[in-house]
Amino acid sequence: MLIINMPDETSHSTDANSNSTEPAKSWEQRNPEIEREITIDEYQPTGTLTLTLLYFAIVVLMWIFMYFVEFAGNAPSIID
Amino acid sequence: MIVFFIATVVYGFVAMDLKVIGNYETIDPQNLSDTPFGTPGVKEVTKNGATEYEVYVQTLQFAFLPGTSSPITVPADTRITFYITSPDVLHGFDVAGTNLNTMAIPGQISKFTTIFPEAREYGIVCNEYCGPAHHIMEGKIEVVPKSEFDKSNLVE
Amino acid sequence: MTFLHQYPKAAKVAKANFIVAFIALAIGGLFGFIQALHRTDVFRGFFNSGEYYTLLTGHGVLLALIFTTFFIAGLFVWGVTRSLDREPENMTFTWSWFWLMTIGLIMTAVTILGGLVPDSSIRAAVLYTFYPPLQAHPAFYIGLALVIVASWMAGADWFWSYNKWRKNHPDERIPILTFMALFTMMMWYVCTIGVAVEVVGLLIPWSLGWVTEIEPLLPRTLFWYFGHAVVYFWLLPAYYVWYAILPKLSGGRLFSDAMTRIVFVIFLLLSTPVGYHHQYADPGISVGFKFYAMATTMLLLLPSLMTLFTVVASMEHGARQRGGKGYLKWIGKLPWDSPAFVGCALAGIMFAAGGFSGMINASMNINLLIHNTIWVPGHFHLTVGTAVALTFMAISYWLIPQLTGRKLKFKTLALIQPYAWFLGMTLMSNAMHRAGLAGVPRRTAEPQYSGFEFEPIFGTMAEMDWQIAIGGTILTISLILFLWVITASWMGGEKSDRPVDDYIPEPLSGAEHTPKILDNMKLWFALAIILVLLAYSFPLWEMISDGIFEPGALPRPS
Repeated sequence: MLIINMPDETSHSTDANSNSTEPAKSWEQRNPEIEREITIDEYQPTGTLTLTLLYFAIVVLMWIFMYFVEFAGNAPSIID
Repeated sequence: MIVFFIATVVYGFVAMDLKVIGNYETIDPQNLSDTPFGTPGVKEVTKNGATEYEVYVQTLQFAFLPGTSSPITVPADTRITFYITSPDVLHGFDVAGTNLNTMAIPGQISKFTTIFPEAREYGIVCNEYCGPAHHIMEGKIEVVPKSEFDKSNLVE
Repeated sequence: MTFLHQYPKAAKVAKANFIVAFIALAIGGLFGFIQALHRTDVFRGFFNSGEYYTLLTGHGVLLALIFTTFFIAGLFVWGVTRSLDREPENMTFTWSWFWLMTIGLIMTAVTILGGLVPDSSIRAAVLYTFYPPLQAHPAFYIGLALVIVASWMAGADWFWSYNKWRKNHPDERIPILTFMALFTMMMWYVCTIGVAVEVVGLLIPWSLGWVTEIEPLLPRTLFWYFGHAVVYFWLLPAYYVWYAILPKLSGGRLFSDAMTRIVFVIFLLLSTPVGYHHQYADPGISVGFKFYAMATTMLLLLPSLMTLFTVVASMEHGARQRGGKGYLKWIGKLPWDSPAFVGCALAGIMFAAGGFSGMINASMNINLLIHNTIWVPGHFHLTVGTAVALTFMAISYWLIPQLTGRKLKFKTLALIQPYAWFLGMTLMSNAMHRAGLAGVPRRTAEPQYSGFEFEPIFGTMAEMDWQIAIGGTILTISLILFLWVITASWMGGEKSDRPVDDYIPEPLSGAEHTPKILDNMKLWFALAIILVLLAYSFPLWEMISDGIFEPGALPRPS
């Protein structure tokens, strides 16, 4: 994994490795695995939306099948 | 989506007769002999002018009474009301492969009504752990055509 | 500098909790393996079918109650200490709750394992739900009570740290790692009232013979007052990991601090008044209250779906920062070669599947289709058995180095482990769900009957049995890999000042955008109590108004 000096978010002052002569850099800028930093304003979670809608569709279809075919077709049932 | 799920449950409950039990009726589990459970079995009753049947079942370690040593025999296409209780520990009463599935709790009476649509045999499984021989506890329901139902085995 | 060097005292406490948790995991997992082979009739040579129920009790108690509780205690010690930047306030108090919990665990475990000694009078084959009138040895109940009391003390410890911190930081928002821990513990306080009343008020006096009779429905209802909230007590710490740590492991940031807090508030409110959904098939509870429980349970879908969105969005953020593109192509850019990430992500996928079977369980009438069938263990092996357990295992690969100051060894084995778990659980759980639809019961040593055959709708019984047995074997191998990697790293990993990158970046949308009212713990706690009273006061009154122990049944040996 990464062996980079990164200040802990709870101990800015105690971490001897945080170099105070350098200007503050964000975590992304210090992390070589990250190609570019995406801020909240430019981030559109379209993939998440796709996945969520896909999941909803599967769940609703399976529900209809389970309820109206598996369950309702499984007579005898408790009718009173 | 949440509303849709609840709506289908309510629709099934109201329009499709897919109910759950919910009666509150207690009984002394140590004195079942003075109750209808003292003579368990199938009884004939008349409700609203129609012939119906009531089945009183005791679930005990490790048998259904009746059900295990002799099957519960009932007619098809007829309203059958089950009354189930336990003199000892918790048991389950599940008619395998159907939606008839209830708990048997000492001190409480489980009551539900059903109609068996076809003449065939069903297995009954105890599906709540009831002790070291829980896995041998099973029974049988024999549903016969309405016309062939033999009333000589009914209990009073 | 890592956690061990900054907070050596807390690190020691967390490590002690993790050791107990992993021992429980090892023994409970072994029992599970034996059960998988026994039930399916693949091999029954280890124990006889009567002893099966002792193993089953051990499996349930050690994994669902002991592994989880100790792991959660260790995780929260880590999170609270780190986010408040203070060691526990009083180490004597901290160690006293740890040892009390351990003593309780040992008492309970000894009574359970006594069942494997021939002719032993110390037995507790009552399963982890311990419904009376089946009676266990009194030490079983006393041990459980000690575990619960000790967990309350642990919660008090964290509130103590929080109060001290608050004095020095009057205007700051509660740090998110502490917020989630405290809300989980508040929910735990609300729900454990039920099981505490059951065990201390009813079962201990009864098992000691001070009263002879017991009303079975009342303790059962009190158990389920606790019994569903406890699953959220397991799940919320997994959410804790998914919200706080998983985004960083994916290379991104938590999407929204506000969403996170809202989710935990809703869980505090709704976790407890849902218990009757385990009792849809019970007499003695009216349909109206069953409906109320269904409505609250269904509302709990909301925070879980919010979690789905927030956590996946955080992962997507990471993937896009790592160069991911497209609608779904970004998924390939996630770090699928990092054991900690892979475990959490696969656990999340399994949870989505388990969510669906949970919706079926929660729905009043369709529940009867699968009530007490093996569908139900199929469901909770996806949720607690994977979403929770696999997340805990995966995050151990990231936490244990911080607590020991040693790097992880055998990274390849660590990477295989979560994939193996996923494969084993896929085989086992799908077969359990389908067998349940055919009516095969849960909690039985021999689900093969002489008078009739089950008629599966999908597949055959033999094929399902083999999937369960093979799946269970793969899970056992995965568990051995986990224990091996952790033990080897703990004992012999390379020492390092920074054995793992433990930095957690700030959320994308931070606490400054979160409504202040979400931090008002008194308000939410009071509302939670009101919802519980609405659900439980009348049915409980109905059960006790004819006498607390009436209608009474006599105890039966387990």
